[in-house]
Amino acid sequence: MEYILETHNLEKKYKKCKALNDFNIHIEKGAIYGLIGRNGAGKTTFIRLICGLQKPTKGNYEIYGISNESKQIIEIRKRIGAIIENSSILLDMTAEDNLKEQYKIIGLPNYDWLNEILKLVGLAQTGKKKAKNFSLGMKQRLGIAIALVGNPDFLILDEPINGLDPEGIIEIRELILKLNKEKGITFLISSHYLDELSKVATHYGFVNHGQILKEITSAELEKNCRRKIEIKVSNVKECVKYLENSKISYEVISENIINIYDKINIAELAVNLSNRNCNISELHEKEESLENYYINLIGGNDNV
Amino acid sequence: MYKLLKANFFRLKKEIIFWMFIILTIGMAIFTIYRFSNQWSPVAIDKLLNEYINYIGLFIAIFVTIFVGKEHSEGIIRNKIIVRTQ
Repeated sequence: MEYILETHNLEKKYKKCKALNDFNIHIEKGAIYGLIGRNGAGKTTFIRLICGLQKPTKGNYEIYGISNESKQIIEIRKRIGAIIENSSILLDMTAEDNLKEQYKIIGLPNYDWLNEILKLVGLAQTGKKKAKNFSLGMKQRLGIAIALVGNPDFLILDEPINGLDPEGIIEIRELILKLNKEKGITFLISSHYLDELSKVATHYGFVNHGQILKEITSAELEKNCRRKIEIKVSNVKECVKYLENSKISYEVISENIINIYDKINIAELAVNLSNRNCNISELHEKEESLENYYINLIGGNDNV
Repeated sequence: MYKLLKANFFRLKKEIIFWMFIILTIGMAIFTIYRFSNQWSPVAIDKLLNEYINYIGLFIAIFVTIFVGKEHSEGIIRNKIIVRTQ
């Protein structure tokens, strides 16, 4: 597995307060990684460490296999684009001038790809309109455009849809998907808009109290969040035989609990199992959203 | 360092307040020349310095505060640190 970013027991301490504590994350190449956590969980601190704005107090991280303790990390960081907290744009300048400024900061000899970047983020038609007159969505897209200067293959977006209207959220979502698909850019997105994140992310990392509680792929999450019927039966073997014969998708959870994922006729199931000397003692219908999954995960590890 | 200077000069050229202060400074210089050219007696240099040139320092201080402050308030400084221009 090729990881673009990997951390090893990363720790960041502010006096007595630990913002990050044994933080271990693994981001695969080509993934859209959603970092989920409440305010103050450590998401932004982590991003600031990766971008080199702060130094870890313990542990280390690797970007493209290069450790942060190596001198090469400065060069490697040039392959990263980032928007932290709010997009860093000059409001008195046009979209084009903002990009030109970034070209000069990076030290690129000419303005190659400038128009392509503007087209990519849908700001090619803004002309002489200054950034202060842009909508929030446009400003955010301009921020992404600035992060794209230098052709990075890893983009870090910290709360990219904060304060955006539904239209703006859709614009950003589509842009992220487009960049991921067309340019193969890997994304690390921190957010607490779980529903929105679930529409783009391929991997999730749940953060609480400065630690990654769980890393999960969207396929695994979907499996966990699938609508299911949980039944408690007296005879699992007979029940499994019946479900196999009826070609019903199921999963044995414990010695007397089975999850059924297909739509079934419950009365028919109860009668047929009863004929096989298997009784249903409990039956629950369950459907979990990403939000529920997150709350359960955080709740299970939090006594607050 | 050179890249940062280049980027800042680019920004400077686009900054309206910079051009406003340039015009104001030129205007003040012209006004000073006009005012003292009417006096046919020699002008003491300290009078010239105290009356007008002091204001230029004030303009520069105001301008630099706005120019550099904007870099911090709008987060441009973060872009520079992330890219780690050398």
